[in-house]
Amino acid sequence: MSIKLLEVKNLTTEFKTDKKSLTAVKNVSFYVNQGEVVGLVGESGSGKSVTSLSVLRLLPENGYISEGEVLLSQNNILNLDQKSIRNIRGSEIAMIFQDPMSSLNPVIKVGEQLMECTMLHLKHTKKEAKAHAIEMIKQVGISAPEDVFNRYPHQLSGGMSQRIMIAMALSCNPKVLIADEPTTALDVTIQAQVLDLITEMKEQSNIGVLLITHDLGVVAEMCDRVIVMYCGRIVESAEVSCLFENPLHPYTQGLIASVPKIGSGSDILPYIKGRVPDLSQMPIGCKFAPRCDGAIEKCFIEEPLLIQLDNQRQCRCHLVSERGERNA
Amino acid sequence: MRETLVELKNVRKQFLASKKFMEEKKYVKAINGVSFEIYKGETLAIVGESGCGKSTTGRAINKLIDIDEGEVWFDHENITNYSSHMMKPVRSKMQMVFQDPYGSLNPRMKIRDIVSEPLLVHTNLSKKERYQKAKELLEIVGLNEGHLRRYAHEFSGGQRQRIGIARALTVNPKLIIADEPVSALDVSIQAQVINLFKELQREFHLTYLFISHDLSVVEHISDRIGVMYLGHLVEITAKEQLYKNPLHPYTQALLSAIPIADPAKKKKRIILKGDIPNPIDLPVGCPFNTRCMHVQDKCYKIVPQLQEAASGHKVACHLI
Repeated sequence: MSIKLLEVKNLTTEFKTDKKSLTAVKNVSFYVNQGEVVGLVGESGSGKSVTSLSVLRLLPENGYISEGEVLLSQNNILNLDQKSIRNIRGSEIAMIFQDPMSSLNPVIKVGEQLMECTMLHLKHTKKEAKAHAIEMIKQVGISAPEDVFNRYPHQLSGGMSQRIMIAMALSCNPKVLIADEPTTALDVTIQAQVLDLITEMKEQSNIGVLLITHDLGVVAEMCDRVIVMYCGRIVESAEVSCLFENPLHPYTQGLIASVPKIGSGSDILPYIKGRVPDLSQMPIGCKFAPRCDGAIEKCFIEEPLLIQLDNQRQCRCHLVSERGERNA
Repeated sequence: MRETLVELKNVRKQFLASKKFMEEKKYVKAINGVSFEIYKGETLAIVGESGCGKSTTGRAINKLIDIDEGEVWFDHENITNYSSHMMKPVRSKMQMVFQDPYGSLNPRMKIRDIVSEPLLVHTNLSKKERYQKAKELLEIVGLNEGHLRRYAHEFSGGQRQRIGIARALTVNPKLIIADEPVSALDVSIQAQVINLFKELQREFHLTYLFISHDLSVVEHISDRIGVMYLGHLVEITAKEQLYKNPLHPYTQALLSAIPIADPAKKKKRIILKGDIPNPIDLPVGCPFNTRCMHVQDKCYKIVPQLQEAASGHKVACHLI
């Protein structure tokens, strides 16, 4: 039995606006095991980034968690005060952001930014921290680590900065790594390098990774399990091979079909009609119903529940659950 | 023989990067001797990573930038040295669709004014006629009359890109230069816009230059594909050839680096070492020699020229 490192239970995150509060994430539950890569997939506005920010409690000022628990090694970190959560960030759970260029401080040398983390969490002396930082730079595959240690972020390329971000995230041996679109800003050949590095680091230190992405190609190559989000809700979750072989939710089906595939030879790309609804104007029933080809009357009235189909598989769709009942 | 609409002959462009007192001026070499043709009615895709000069190439064609060397031909005219006044009638035949649907629409103009503006510049139509045309075009790209009086911020990314396309179509252009038109959009919306591009091409007999970093998007729209690296065109051929039989080592690596949305097809990737060299100090010889795994002595000395390896399949590599 593998160990659950991170468990999120019934997480609901809301944002206060002038008129009312908007629900960005609703009743999201998932877990990340040791040595596992879990993918969180969705389009913009699906709530995947808000979920990850909620886990680290890094929400902007008008955002708040109205319900739920985030268990990190069985402790609910939502009850901790600011000081204790700060001790956890970086040491127990670390995060890599999308844009490596703007995540590094432009006026501090790369090496010093790397030292900060270990001096704070592992109580390293300056000398120890420097040795550790250089070791980490070497580990993420940068040649001439001493040279890079003394550089400023603007002197590094996008791929190099993302390597530094990974080195920084892993320098205090966290148990869980959250990677929010880690390769979206990078070119394909550099993306391949960085994805390889994340896999390698995961295997070396046996951490759990929560990979947030919109790219189904990245998911297929990296993840063990996948969670698909739409409008702040989990619509389907499954093992990666099951999801791609037999997607159940109409949204997942549409998403997989609309990815351009090399060698498909088809002339017209399949697509999902319409667009993601605005947070303030959510449909009443199933949030996907207005874009769904198979929608029945029930879909517009009643929101479906997330049904556990088997051990690893969940799906939120009236059509799927009715089909299941008929078969049973 | 197919008719040529655009032809670039050995085009070079460099930008001034730094000018310090008493120091040698430094230049970013954006395009280094690029030659290709675009045939009437086809879609040519130019693919490459950031900084490879693909956008600069697009801008060289409609003369948003002036080139340093070489020639640009459009519709049997040599437009290389045209002044902006002389370019005006030519520009109405080539329109552009930009990457960022948020930045390319004026936030203070109503959609009908944005879409009909090219008509104001290029034709003598009355206001009523212009609005009528704007209405027709919005319907063609899948929006409706009700959208005419709205402002850009009221639209989603996909809808804005449709507005950008409608604007490009107003003056009945022959060529549309689309610079990363779908890379800012979500996957499900991306597919809608690509399909729209294809429909419009059939309906209006358009020629496209489709600039993109994504080889998998390009497959659905293009007839021929050119791959650029560091300001050089390294390979150009028909779409089927490029995917089936890529010859340049860079094209091979680029194709293998694309993550495939199918876990059953886990394949061995070619992982390129290192980063793209700085375009200020280009490597001597082949531009790809710092990252190529088949590199030979010759590659460090002589820049390989684009040569025909098979019918219609040109590659710039010493090994071929």
